[in-house]
Amino acid sequence: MKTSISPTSAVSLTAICAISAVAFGAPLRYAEDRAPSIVNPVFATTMSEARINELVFEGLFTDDQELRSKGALASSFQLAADRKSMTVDLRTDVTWHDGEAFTSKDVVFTVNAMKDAGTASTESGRVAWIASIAAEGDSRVKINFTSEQWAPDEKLHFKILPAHKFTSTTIKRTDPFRTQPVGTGPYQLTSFNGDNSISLVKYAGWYGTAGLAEVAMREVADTNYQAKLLMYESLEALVRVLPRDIAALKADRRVELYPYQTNSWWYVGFNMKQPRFQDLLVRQAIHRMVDAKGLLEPVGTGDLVTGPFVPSSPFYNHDVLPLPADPNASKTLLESAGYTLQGRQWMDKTGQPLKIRLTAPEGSDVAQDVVINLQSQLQLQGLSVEPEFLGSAEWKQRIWKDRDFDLIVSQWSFDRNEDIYEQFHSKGTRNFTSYNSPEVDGLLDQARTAPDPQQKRALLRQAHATIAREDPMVFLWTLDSYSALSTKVKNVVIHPFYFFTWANEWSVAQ
Amino acid sequence: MTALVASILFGCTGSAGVATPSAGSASGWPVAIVTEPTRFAALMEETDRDGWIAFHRNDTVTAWQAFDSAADTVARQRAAFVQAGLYDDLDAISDDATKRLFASWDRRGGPPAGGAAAIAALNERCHGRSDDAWRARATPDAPGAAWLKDTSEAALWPSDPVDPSVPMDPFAARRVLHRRARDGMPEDLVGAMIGPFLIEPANGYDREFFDPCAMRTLADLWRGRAGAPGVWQDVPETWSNAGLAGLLFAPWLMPDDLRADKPAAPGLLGARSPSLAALGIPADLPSNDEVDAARGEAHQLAAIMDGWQQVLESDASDDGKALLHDLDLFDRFAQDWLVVRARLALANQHPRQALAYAQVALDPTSSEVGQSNSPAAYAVLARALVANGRSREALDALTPLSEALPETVGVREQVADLTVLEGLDRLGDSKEN
Repeated sequence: MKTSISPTSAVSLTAICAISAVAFGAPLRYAEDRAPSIVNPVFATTMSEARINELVFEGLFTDDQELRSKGALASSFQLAADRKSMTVDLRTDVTWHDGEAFTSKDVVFTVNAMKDAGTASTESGRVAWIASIAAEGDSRVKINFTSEQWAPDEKLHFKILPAHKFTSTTIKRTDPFRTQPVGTGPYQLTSFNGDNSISLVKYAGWYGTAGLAEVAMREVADTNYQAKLLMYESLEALVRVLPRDIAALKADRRVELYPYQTNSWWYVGFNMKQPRFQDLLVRQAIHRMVDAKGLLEPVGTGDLVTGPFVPSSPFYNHDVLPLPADPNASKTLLESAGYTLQGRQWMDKTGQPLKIRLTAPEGSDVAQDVVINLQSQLQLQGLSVEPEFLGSAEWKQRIWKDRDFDLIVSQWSFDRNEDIYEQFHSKGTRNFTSYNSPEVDGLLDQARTAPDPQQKRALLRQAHATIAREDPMVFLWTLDSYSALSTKVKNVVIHPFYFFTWANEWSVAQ
Repeated sequence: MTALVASILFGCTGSAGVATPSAGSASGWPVAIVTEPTRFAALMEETDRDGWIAFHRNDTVTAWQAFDSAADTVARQRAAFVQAGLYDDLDAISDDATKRLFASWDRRGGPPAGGAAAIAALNERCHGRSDDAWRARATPDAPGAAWLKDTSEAALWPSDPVDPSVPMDPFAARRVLHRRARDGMPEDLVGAMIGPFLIEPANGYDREFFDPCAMRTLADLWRGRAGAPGVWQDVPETWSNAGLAGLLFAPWLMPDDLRADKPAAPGLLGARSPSLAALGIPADLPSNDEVDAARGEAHQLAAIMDGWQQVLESDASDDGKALLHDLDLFDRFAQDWLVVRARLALANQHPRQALAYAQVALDPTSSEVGQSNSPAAYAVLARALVANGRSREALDALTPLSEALPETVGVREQVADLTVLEGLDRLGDSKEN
C-alpha cells in the first residue's frame, strides 16, 4: 500500500513528532550555585530554598499563571462583612508525603509556629497581620485579623507545615525536618545527598497532575561550568544564567532562554551595630571609595542602582543620583570623622589601623569577583581589608543570627511587590545591618497600609531617597537575569520569583 | 512539496538539516540581497541611504524624515507603518492598564475624588466605548467635568479655540493638542506626554495621571501617514510591486506575503506570510493558547534561517557575505516576524502564545533599544506581559523603551500604578541571592 504525505501534512507531522517524543517519566535536572542548606519554609532565607520549597510544599493559596490568587490547599473562603475575619475551607483530598491526612490542625499549627517568638522564623512578618486562628472542624479554619483586610487570600501564600512532624510550635532550625521535609506538594524529597544534590520524585498521592517524574537539584558552584553542563545535556535547567553566558546559550538551538526577573540588587552592607559604622561620615567615606561601575564590568551587564529598588521598579526614585567614587571626598569625610592617614594606612581615633572584614557567601562567582576587586579598591585608599567567604550554615549563624561581620557583599531578590520592610525597618526580620531610622520606619509603616498606589509609590520613593542619604548600604547594581532550559522541557512557564510554581505542568521529552 | 522537504530536513529536532536557499528572491529578501548584492546597492543609490541606515537601526522616525523624495515613497510609508504598529501596541497597553487600574480601584471602594473619574471616562471615550458610567461619577467641580458633558465627536478632537486668550478646561486644552497631532503636527502633544496630564495634590503627595489617549492619537497619526494619500490597507499591494524597497528589513519575505491578506492593523502585516507556510510554519496560529506551539514555530524559523545562513556563507560573494554579517539579516527578519506573530496571537486572544513569541523575539544580549532590539520588540513584550497579568515584568520591558522614547513614559507610569494597586493586599517576599 502506497502512503502519500501531502505538503499540508507537514504540520501534523511536526505535531506527531512532538507528542510522541514527550516522555512523562524523564527527569528534570537543574543547577543551583549553592544548594539549600535547609528545606523548611519557615526558615527559608535564600532563593535556592524558596525554589525547592515551591516543589515540596503548598500554601492555602497560590498564584495562577496570570498571578492572581487561587486556592491551593484552600477550596474556598468567606470574608466577614466587617473585613476583620475570614473562614477558609480546606481541600479534603490532600495527604502529606508520609500519608497522613492534611487538616485544619496543620494550618493552625503553621501560623502559630511562625508567630512563636521561640521559632524565630525568618517568615514571621508574613503572619503578623493575623491576630488569631482556630480550627472549625477538620477542614475549616477561622482567621481573625489585626485590621480590616480587602483581599486576605493574597496574604495566605506562605507554605503549610505538617503539625504531626513537630512536638511544639517552637520549631528549631536544626530539627531533622530540615533535611527530611514532608510536604503536600507535587514532589516529595527522597534524599538530601552527600554531594549537596537533592532528589525528588513525583508524589503519587498528590491530588493534581504532575508531568515530571523526577526532579534533581545539583549544586554546581563553578558557574562557568553550569552553562556547559546545560549545553552538553547533563542538565535541563539553569535557574540563573551569568550575563557572560547569555550569548553562547542564545546561539545553542537546544536551549531556550527565559527572562527570570526577581528584582534583585547587589549591595555592600555596613554592620551598624558597630560604633564606627554608626557614624554616617565613615559610611559615606567608604561609599566614596567604591567604584561600582568598575566592580560591575568583570561581572557582566546590568544597571547601577542608587537605592533598594531596581530602576524599573514603581518605587525607584530616579532623582537620587549615583555617587561616583571620589578619593578626595572620601579623605575629607574620614578626616572629619576623626581618622588620620599615616602613610598609606588610615588610623582610627585610638591610633589603630582601620581594618575591615569583607564577608561574602561562599560558592558565588559573582560575589568572589566583587570581593576581590573591592578589596583592591579599598586597600588602594588606605583600608586594611580581609576578605572571607562563608558557607551557608556559617552565613546564617554569623550574619543572620550573631550579626558578626563588618561589611558584607550580597544580593537581595524581591518578588513583584518589592517590599523592603524586612530589610530596612528597625523591626524587620532581615535587617541584619541593624539599620534604624525613625523616618524610614514611618515611611515603611505608612506604605504597608497605603490605600492608594500613588501614595505608596510616593512613600517608597521617599524611603529610597532617605536610605540613600543615610547610607546603610552601598547599593551596587541589578544584573540582567535569565534562566535557561533545554528545549526538551515542554510547557514551561516560569514564575517570576519562585520559578517552580507551575512546574507540575512541565514535562521532559526524551 | 516544500513543506514535506522542510519537515524531513528539520525532522523532530528542528535543527538537524539545512534548507537550501532557492535562487534569487525565491527565498525572500534576506537571501536575495546576499546572492544579488547589486540589487541592494541599486536600492541604496535610488533611495535615501541614510533613511535605510536609520530604518535598520530601528529608528523609524528618523527614517521617515529622511525618506523625503518621491523616490522614497514606499520606504517612507513603510517607516510610518512600523511607527503606527509601535504606537498601536503602546495604546493597547495604556488602555488595558487604565481599564484594569480603575476596575481594581472600584473593587477597593472606588477611585479617589477629583479628576480620576474623568480620566477613566476619557479613556473609554477615546477608545470608542461609552463613557456613561464614569461620566456620571465625575463630580461637577472636578477637572474635566465640564468638558465631559459634551459627548460630541467634535469635543473629543476639537480644533484650536477661536479665542486662545479664554482659559480652557485642562481636558479641553489637551484635546486641542490631540487635534493638532491628528492634523500632522504632533510635536506639542509628544512634548506634553513626557509629563503627567493631571496633577492633584493629595495627602502629602501629588497624585498624577498621564494622558490615556495619547498613544491612540499617535497611532492614528502614523497610520494616516502610512496610507497617505490613500487608505493604509491598500498600500501593501503597492509595495508588492515595488521590488526590494517593499521588502527590505520587513517581517515578510516575498511580495506574495504582502498580497496574502489585509490585516486589521498595520502591525499585523506579515504575520500570516504564506511563504513561511511553504517552509512548514503555518499561516494560522495553533488553535490552543499553549506556549510550546509558538516556541516550536520559533525553533523552526531559527532552523530555516540557520540553514540559509550556512549555505550563503559558503556560496555567496564577498560583497554578499559582507551584507549578511554587517546587517544581521536573518536575526533581523526573525525578530520582526516574531513581533508581528505575537501581535497576531494577541489579536486572536492567545496571550500565552503572544508572550512566548515576544520572549523569543527579544535579543537577550542587549538590554536597550537599538539595532538588536527594536522598540516594537519591547512594546509587544510589555503588551503580552500585561495581557498575561504580569504587569510588574512589563515594567522591565517598558523601562528601556522610555529611555529611548521619552513619550512612552506615561505608559510606563500607568502600568506602574496598576502593578502597585494589584499588589496592595500582598505581603512581599524576599530572599538572599
